[in-house]
Amino acid sequence: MNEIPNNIVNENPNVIANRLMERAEFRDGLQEIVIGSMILMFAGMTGLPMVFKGPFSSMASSSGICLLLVIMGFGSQRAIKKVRKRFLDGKMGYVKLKPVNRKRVAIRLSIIVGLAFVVAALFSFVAVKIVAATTRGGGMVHWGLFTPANWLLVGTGLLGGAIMVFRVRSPRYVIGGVIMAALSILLAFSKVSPNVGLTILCGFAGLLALISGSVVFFLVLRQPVEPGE
Amino acid sequence: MSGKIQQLAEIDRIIHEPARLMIVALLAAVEEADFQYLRQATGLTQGNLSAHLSKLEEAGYVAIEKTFRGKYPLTICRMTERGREVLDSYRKVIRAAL
Repeated sequence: MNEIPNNIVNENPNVIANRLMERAEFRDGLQEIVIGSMILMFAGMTGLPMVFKGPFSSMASSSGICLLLVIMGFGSQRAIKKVRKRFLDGKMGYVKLKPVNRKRVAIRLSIIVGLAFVVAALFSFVAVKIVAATTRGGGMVHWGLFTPANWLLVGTGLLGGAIMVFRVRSPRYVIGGVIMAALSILLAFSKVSPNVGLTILCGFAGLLALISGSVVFFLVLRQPVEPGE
Repeated sequence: MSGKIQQLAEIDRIIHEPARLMIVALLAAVEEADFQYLRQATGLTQGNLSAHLSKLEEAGYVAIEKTFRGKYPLTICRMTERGREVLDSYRKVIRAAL
């Protein structure tokens, strides 16, 4: 934290503010627990069709998890606030962040939606390629080392790994990011289906976030309540 | 250039002190924070932080509200408009001079 006096002069205060807000948000592990749970649910969503083979049960389980994801997305922040107020403010201190910049949130949301469309288009493109390959009866199409679907798996692993390494900037996530990237390449080379590979990848990322968040949270819970001034 | 350098002589000495600069930089980034958060974030001791906060409050840069959380005293600090202005001009002077 001692870098602040130097940074306050050289850096844009909004950048410093955002960094501090991120630190404040992630210092007790609760956000990590929520993110980890959501990624695990997504892994469940991709993995359930392999367990429930029937079209109805597979659709019902996927819809159920989708609904849970939406509920969690909307309700988690309120729950985090309550848990912090009840258990953590006395140990970690209370901090109220600046109100959210609606314009910035709108821009970010637009980017996320745009990216989602690109990913969906990519998925559709790969699916069409695979269908075309199978209907031609010429076996699987290979783009270089992997099939298109496996390239998607590798891309997901590399992107997820890069986000962990460069965005979170915590040593445990640097290691996790490298493992995730390596795992995606390993899965692409192995004989597992892309669906199983994606489930394993998301499961790994979700478990990492969930475990690391839980450890941080329980360490914070074990701290004694410090009297104020 | 020499004019800008000379502006350094008129710099706000209350904010210029590193510990107080840390406190105002933190408070400028959030809406409000309690004593405990500031203590953890700055790494200052309780007595030290308390003394620096008092100086900032006297100067009108920080507003302090004392309440209770259950049986524990709770000190909530927030930056005043004046504090934000002073921090902003401090940044401008230092950046121009360096």
